[in-house]
Amino acid sequence: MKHSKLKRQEIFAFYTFISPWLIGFILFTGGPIVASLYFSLTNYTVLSKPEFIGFGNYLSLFKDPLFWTSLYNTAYYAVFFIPLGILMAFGLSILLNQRVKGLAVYRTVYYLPSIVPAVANAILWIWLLNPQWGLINTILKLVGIEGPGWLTSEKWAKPGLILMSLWGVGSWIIIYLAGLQGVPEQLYEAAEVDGATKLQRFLYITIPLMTPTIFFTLITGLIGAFQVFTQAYIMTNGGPVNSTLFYALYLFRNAFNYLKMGYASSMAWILFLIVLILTLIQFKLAQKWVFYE
Amino acid sequence: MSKKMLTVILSVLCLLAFSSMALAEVVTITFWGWISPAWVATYRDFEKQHPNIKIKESLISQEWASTSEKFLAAMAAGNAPDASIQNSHQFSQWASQGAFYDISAFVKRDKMLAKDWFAPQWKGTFFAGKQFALPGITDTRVLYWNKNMFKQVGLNPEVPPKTWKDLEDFSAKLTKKDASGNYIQFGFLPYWGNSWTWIYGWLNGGRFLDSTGRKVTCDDPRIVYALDWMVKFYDKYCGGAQVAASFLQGFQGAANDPFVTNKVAMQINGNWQLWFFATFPQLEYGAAPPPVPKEGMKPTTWSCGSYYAISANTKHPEEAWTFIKWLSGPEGAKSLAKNTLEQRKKDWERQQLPGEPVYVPDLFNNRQAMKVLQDEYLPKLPPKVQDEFKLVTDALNWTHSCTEMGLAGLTYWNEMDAATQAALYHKMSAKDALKQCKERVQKALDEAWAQVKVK
Amino acid sequence: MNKNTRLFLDNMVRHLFLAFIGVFFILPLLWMISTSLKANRQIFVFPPQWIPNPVIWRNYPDVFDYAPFLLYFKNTMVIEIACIIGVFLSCSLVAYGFARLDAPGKNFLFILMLSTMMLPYQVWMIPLYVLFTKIGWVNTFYPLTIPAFFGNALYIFLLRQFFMTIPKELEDAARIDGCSYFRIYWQIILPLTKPALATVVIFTFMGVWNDFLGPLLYLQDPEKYTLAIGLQVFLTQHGADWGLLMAASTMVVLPIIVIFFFTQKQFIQGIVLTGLKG
Repeated sequence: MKHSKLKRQEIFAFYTFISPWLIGFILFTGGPIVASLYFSLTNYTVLSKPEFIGFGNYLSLFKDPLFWTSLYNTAYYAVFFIPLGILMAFGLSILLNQRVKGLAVYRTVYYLPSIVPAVANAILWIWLLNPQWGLINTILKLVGIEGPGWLTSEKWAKPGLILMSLWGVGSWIIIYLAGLQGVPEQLYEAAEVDGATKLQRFLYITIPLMTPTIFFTLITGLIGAFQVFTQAYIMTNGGPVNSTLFYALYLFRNAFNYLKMGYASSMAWILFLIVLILTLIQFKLAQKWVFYE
Repeated sequence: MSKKMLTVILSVLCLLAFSSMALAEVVTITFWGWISPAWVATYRDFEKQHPNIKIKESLISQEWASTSEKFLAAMAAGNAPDASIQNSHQFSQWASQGAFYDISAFVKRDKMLAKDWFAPQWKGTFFAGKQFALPGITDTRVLYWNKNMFKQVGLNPEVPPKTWKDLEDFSAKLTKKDASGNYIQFGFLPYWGNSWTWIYGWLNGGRFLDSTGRKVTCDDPRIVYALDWMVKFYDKYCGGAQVAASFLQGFQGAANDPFVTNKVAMQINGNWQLWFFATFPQLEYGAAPPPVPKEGMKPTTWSCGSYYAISANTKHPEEAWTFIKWLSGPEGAKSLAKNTLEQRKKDWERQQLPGEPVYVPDLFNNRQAMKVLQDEYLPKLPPKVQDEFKLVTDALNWTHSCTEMGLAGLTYWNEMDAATQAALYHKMSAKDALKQCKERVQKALDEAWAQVKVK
Repeated sequence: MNKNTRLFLDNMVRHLFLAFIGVFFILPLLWMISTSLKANRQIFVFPPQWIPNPVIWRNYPDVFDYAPFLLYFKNTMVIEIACIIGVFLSCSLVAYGFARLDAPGKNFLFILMLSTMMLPYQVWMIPLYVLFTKIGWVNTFYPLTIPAFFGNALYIFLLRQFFMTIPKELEDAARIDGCSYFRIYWQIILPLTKPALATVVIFTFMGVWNDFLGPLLYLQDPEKYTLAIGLQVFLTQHGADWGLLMAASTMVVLPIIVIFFFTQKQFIQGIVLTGLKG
């Protein structure tokens, strides 16, 4: 295919601009990733050399009940956390995007859980979620609801962790705030002059112009949710009765505790495939609802 | 003296001088372990006693008993440290993979005998007839009871429960509910503290692995009986496992306060509790061997802890050996205790605790080290702690080692926990839960044996 | 009621709501500070005692007896500065390429870049470590800083989204005037996306500040340790000294909070697009 001079300039520019990432990929990332693909086809204890076994790991995975349990737990988490997280972060960022005194304080406060060590968050939330005396169930009691067992209950442990994760959406709030800043004031002013209500301005100006940022949090939220790990590791250790055994936790155990790095690698690549497919679907759908200009 | 003679003498002198310099060459060995001030001071003490060896220490992992990703990565890259602290839980599997240096020759040369060490953890350092580590600090688990709570309900505060029936009877008196039916006080919670299911299985005389270490036997009727007893205990005396768990939820981290704040009267927990209890001068407590299922049975307990291992590809096995021998022996014990005591004094002052700091020494697997610690520190303990300390030390003689969980130790650990939870939460009967545990662990164990590199 | 009253009530409601939710968000920090001033025997009491009694002020100065935290702070800052510069330059350059320039293979490469985030780090961190060992970078700051100059998929994706919202007309006009792509990137795109760039800088700073696994793996010598590893010095065979640990953690966390609070103007109230020039 022949390119015009202008087009060739553009292609050259493109590759120059992305060269830092491309070179970095070739130098640092590509090799280890390919290595892990190879390990997924082996028995590998890390302490000794890998032994090739073909697709043995993958076949074992499908027969492993904990594989299915952990995949279910993770999907459950993702399905609830992603939309709730986006809604909560978006809602809070709208509230925080006003020129009112003291908002710098609130914005800092909402970002705090992301700054504070994970262990502080963990301890706090174990208290908050205490079924008998915790703040959450106390508040529920005030409205007449009998609070569930949260982290001590098989059914409610995941919702408890999801609730806790919602408090970590500080970084999404920051991103949405940056996006909201990019919406030109004039658009709002012009619309107001034309008689648009607050709600109309919100629906027809704010939201469409925020779709690129929302899309970003959707994709990265998807990728992140499927690798959820820390809370289950610190707080519940996968319990009660494996109800919070997330995929990444089971993977971690296989990789480092059971010396089954090959098996863990195959888990990783299956996760990769699932997330890749979901992401590609989202990109396809994005053409319908994400507006860049 | 002829010129020739002088030259010869001078040459010989020079040769001797240079040789002695070479012999006095300082060797630096890398050691991955703990970096708290007490440990760092201990490494420096070693250097003072051995001027030709320098220790370069580095942190091995982020938790006391967790797997070291750092060590695994270093093994894969070929730059493992000369020596390291390993946790005994997964030790045999790592040893079977050839991670460690065979120290059998050193042990023989230095005339180290098995009888100089407490047997269970010493045995755990062997694999396929070769020895790969020296046992370091260890722990034991005993029953603690809260004397104040006993007094309150009319139980003799000096009489601990001796059998499982005692635990039930005492709990019937000690467990209390408030007006709305919420539990506010418990007598005993079997799966709390640091007992896990292992202790009940072993107390009832069960075996978790057969003598070859290749067959999982957790469906042993004695172990099924133990787990079943735990489930029934929760249902009858605690309102069920979930209620108990709810009650305990707030006491995160230390998980000690319910005992100290008079909410749970008895617990099976480790010797480290003595260290913790010492900071609560108003607490009246006692320690006793873990209760046995039936009168006349002998109590037992179990121990975990750390091993000091030399890495397989070390370039300085001799110096590394000198170090781990020192660290696990009486000299290392003295040094670590002295440094930890110093730290303890500062902590005591900072915490604004009354009186003299109570220093409860660690448990060392080396008999002579343990004796040295006892002779020096036991007399200094407050009288009421002395008996407790004697008990936890004596327990080293009748304990099981967690290395008995076998080559797939961590899988066994997680699956046993899962089985216990399944039984306690009534998802499965104790029998079925243990059967499932057996199937899963057997599979992992077979794989682990198939991959053994050291024969 | 008049407009002013309505505005006032509006603000009041807003403040109440934000404050109510904000209480939950601030609790972990309050717990940290409260714990840092408590005697260890009171830390895990339940229900939690928020006001320490006695107050152990000594936890704070005593922290410095445990480890050279100022040295660790210096080490952390060295890595921070390198990473911030590296990420800022590399991610913005690459993001511009993906946002505005077209070429065969672009979509494939973009998805490839995103895919690197989809494979859990645990399964390729050891081969990466082996790679760094082979080039002799273990026990140096290089593995923690150099990769920053080669882009970071997450931040590239973020900046790409923002770059794509800038009206194309601005750049088209500049191209017609004969501007090179680089000048457009440097003089048009970057100034107009300050909020997004500042966001990336803050996230990078946070990431480096709290990174534990990287320094644990790659820094052997205690003199090279960062703050994150330094906190481990309170860990002994008797468990962690929570009072000291929280005092140290609070001191580690407070600078970030302060920086974050004062630099908000930069990235929240950044320049607002005014449309086409002239």
